[in-house]
Amino acid sequence: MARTRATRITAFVTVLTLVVCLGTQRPANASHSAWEHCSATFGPNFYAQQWTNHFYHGVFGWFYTYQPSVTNLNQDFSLSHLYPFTNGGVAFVEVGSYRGYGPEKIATNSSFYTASREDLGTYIEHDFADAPNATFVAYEAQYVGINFGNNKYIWSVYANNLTTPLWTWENKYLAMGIGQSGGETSARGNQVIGRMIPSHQLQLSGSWYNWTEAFMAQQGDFVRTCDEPNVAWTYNTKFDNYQFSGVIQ
Amino acid sequence: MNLSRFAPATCLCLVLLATTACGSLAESSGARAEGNPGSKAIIDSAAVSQAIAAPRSLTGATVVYVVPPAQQPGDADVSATFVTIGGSSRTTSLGRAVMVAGVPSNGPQEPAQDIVQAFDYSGQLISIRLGSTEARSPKVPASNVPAAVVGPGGRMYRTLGNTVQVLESTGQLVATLDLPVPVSATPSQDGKPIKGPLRLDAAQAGGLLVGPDGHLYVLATNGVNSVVADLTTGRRSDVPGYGAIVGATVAADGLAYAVLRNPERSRNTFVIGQFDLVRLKLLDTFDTLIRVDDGALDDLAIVATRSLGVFVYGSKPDATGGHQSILLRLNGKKVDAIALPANLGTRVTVGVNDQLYLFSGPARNVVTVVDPLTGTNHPETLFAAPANSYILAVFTR
Repeated sequence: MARTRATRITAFVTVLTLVVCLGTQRPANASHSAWEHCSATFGPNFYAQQWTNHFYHGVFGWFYTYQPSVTNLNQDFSLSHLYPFTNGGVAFVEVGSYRGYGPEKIATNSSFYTASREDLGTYIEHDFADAPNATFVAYEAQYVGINFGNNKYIWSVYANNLTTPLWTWENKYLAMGIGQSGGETSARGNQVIGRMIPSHQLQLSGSWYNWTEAFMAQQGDFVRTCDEPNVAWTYNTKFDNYQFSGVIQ
Repeated sequence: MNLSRFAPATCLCLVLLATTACGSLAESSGARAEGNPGSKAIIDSAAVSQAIAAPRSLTGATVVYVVPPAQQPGDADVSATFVTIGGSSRTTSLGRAVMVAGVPSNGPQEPAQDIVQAFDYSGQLISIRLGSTEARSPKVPASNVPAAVVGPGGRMYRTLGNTVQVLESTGQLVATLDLPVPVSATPSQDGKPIKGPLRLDAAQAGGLLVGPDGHLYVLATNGVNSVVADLTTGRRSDVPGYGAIVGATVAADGLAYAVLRNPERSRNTFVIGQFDLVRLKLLDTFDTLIRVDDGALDDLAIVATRSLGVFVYGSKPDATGGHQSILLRLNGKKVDAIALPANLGTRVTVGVNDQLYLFSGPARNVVTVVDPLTGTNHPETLFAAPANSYILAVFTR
């Protein structure tokens, strides 16, 4: 079941073709009404996201680059991303694209970024170039190894370039992370929007696996999802083909 | 993609200063002796002198080192070698372990209760209790090597998610306690929003402590506020405004000391917080002048000696590609910086002679001893493991 990057790209092209042919028509199985609200679990920002219960060595996914509506670009942001995390969300590495506030760039156009935290209070973010507009780009966060020179775990993150890391982080605690993907905004009145298509993958012990219901069942794992009242999350297929959209009220 | 693994004192005036400083600390804080929470501790100046004069030796200590596999992480088992200096050694497999940390027992009288924790590449935590006969606790699913402390009788406390597990010396799990949750607030950085999971409902243990009364104490934080709690009785007290706790210890004066900071501002410093565990109260803070934005810290720890007071030790990358060692001494109500050479290690253990043993990280296979009062600019190398190994734990006797 393990797949290589080449097969991921092949799968991506296949699905992209389907997406282009079928548009982003929402299927009938929208199922978010019973989901919990994210603020109870993840904090004061507003989220639409899915996450595993088990830990993995990497997360990979294809995301459409929107230009979400953000009321105050100098103060707030809206983004789509993936971030493996541990210690209840304390430690993570994160990669995606945001529009709005970043400590290194006020992004008028959606721009790539990466962030990481070891302990609470040690958040670091780096902001990069504009992302190509209205297309699918790949994000990946992957455990690389240990730096015994400082006893930290090494993670590389990629954005639209699977050859050269966007950044390489070292983290004291993130040896494995809960698989996560979705969107987030920092304030009410902003739009949260995202579209994710296969292949969405998780890495375990060096091999990549499609993040599907079958894989979750095989691992004895499960996926939880949360969104905000005005954000609609729709699975085309669980858990590697979904979309979400809405304005936080 | 490239998956290669590795980025890859002896001065009399100082004695007097130490005695005076420690004495004032004990006097001002209602210090306690073990088992008698109300009594005053008296600093023994003879003990201070003896500590300083004591020969620097690792005899009786146990050093744990690993040789990292050359292959991909997780492709090969990692063996750890446990060497008792002046005694025997043995090598044991940690499976596909990728990180190892030592958890010293409560005192030198219980060397068999020292614990090595290893995190396995497949996501399992292994606890190995040292002793004449190796005993392993059952593996549990984990995501890293968690904070842990060993109490009297070898009882082990370790964090797992938002809980603290209590394990008997046999490794049997006897209780699971919830971490206390600090008062909610919105995390930010310099007043601006941050991206990612913020987890206001959760707590992170910044320090697990066994108090002089034998109770289990925890300092937990949610990134904005903290709480200090006695998990044995369930009492708690909030510590607002300190949302980062990177270490804690109980000192000879019976007080707890922790390294804290307010994470709301990116350009501020760590402080040493002084806690009364009986009243669960933050008594005072002392600025370390260590700034977060000076560069990512490799590690930062706070340790208590028997006679010489409380010290903060850490390291951070320097401009030359090395690692600058940081040693601070809480001297009364001020913090003294003690100069050290670079690359002495990221981890610290206090020896029974009150010397500091530095190891791990850039120190690779070497243990160095440093006199904490002077920092001695001529630290001695007391033990060197094989050249391709990394020392990851030192238990002193």
